[in-house]
Amino acid sequence: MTNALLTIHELKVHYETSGGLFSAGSLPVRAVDGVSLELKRGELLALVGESGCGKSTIARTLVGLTEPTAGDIIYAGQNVGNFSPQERQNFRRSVQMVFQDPFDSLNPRKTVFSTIAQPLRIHKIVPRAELKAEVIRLLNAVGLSPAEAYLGRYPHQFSGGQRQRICIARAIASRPKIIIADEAVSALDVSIRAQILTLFRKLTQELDLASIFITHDLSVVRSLCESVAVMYLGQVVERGPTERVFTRPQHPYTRALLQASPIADPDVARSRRGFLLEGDVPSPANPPAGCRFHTRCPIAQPKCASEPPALRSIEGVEAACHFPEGWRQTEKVSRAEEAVQ
Amino acid sequence: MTDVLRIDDLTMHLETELGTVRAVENLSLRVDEGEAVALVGESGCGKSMTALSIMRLLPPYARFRSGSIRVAGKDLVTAPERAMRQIRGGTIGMIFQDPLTFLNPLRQVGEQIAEAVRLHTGAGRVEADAQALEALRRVRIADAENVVHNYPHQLSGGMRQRVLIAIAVACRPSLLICDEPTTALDVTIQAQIMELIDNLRHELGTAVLLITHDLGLVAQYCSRVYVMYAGQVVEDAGVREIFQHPRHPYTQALLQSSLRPDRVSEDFAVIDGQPPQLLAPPPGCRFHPRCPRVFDPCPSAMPGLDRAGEGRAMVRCHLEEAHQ
Repeated sequence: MTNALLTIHELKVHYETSGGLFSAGSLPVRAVDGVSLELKRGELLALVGESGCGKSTIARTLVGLTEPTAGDIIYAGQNVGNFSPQERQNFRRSVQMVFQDPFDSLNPRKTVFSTIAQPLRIHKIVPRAELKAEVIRLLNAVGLSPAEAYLGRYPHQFSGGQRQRICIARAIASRPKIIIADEAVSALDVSIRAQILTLFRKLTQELDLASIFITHDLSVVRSLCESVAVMYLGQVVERGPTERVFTRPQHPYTRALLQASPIADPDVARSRRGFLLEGDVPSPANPPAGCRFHTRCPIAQPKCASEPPALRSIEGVEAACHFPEGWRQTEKVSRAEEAVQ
Repeated sequence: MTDVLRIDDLTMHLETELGTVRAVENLSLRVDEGEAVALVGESGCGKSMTALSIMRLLPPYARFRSGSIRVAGKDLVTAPERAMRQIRGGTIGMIFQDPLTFLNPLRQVGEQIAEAVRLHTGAGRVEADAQALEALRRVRIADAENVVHNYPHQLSGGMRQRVLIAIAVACRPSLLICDEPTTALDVTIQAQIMELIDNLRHELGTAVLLITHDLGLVAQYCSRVYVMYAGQVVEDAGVREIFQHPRHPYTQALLQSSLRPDRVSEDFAVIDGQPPQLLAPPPGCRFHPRCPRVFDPCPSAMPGLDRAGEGRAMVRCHLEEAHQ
């Protein structure tokens, strides 16, 4: 806990759904339900999971777009909930966000210059006279050159990849300590995605940024992030160093995600043996009792339906599963079957 | 093997106010009976326009400039609209990225499947309803008896895509065109849908043309691959050949920038720039402004799509011609 830059402790974010005209009172959506995470200085942490698992809600809570229902966010040793307005302003400057859709997240009526100059003005990063020089420096840093030519242009004059570079320039303008990237490369084609990931990696190293990289794409995580947290229905089910989690996953959901991730190699892709998850993710307004994954888990036992498992250390990672050894059993069986055939 | 689809030298342009968009140029493609073939490329490369050309679901300003699209002995480029109605949903089924756009929100899903059956087989109401139920079971919907009476908004994304597949295969088409069928879905649901498509291909003997940007899906489910760039096919080869020995520099770059969950890429292998606008594509080889191996003839002469090496790969690159 000592060298953590940012700590999230037992965070809960519940949305009140104001039931429609015809529904008589409804349950709150438990988007995030007791998540604890730790981000070290300079660390690239991946937050993975499928739609509705709460990963974007965590991002929105960290940048102050959503209020937490319960739990604490600790930044540099201090509880964000107790910050004075001045400290809060400072915290917001330090945590910046890059969104998925570079079309929706830029104001179409603002030029590139005014988009990037805005955080510089608000947080008084540079004197007024140096604004233009600073914006040009930022554009060059994100690989948009000749920067002078871009200053007066509007978002519609750029491609998706270029827009994402503008969003990154805006995010690093206030000299943040933490960047939160929410599906920042998901809308991009592979050749453009590679360019943006290269930029992202270069900037985090040069500027000594810590980053929470939110994605559903495990192949990006493997090559970009040193640690990973896997979420399912508002909770972290497994976390640890990326290499460990990917090579020796302990939670059956992590295994299912890895199994379902496409691999661009015909021999490897076709020789994988594993299982397909059946059905859909249950509603976060009414999550299953016990382990939330038990309704889709192929190795569930009666205990899983009643007792929620806590995160515990298993084989170098932390996983919330009562029966991680269930996997080793089934693997032994399938290896034995293979040997017989 | 007989082919269910054969496109020869197809050129289709869009005549827009801004000028001619060269959406598809000199494209040849074949799908054999029961086969799974991939058409891969990035946004705007013309892969969806190729699919829409086959179905003749093009905007009014689209023009066929040359070539033919042969399905069941007919040339779809010149076929009358009446004949196309029998082809669409009859001989060829199609599913799209976003199922909600293609389902009627005001009608129960069972009715929507039955409608397709009545239209193409002339079956009566009772018979069509029975076939709709059967179609839902075929796409592994567990409580088909209830889902028949559901409206699209009551279903999850994965279930809606299953319903769309049920409509597409209800009349036992010989070809199923899947245009980015899983792009909007979560990865575990994507795996379910791709397995379903693959199983139906085996059960019904339906050939599949998978249009996608995801090389991982191609590797797992297809036997042959066409790679498209800027409106043209740049490489055409068997799946193992293309993944083990990609010949076109664009195919090589695509493969190198495809990250994998089972290994670490230290370098993201960037190709600079972005695909060209098809309003004014570059002269010569369309990939030459981004190509790391560009040489003398590339900026001026368009390379042909020619056989390369020992296998049956076809490549549109001057480097291959130089090797011969």
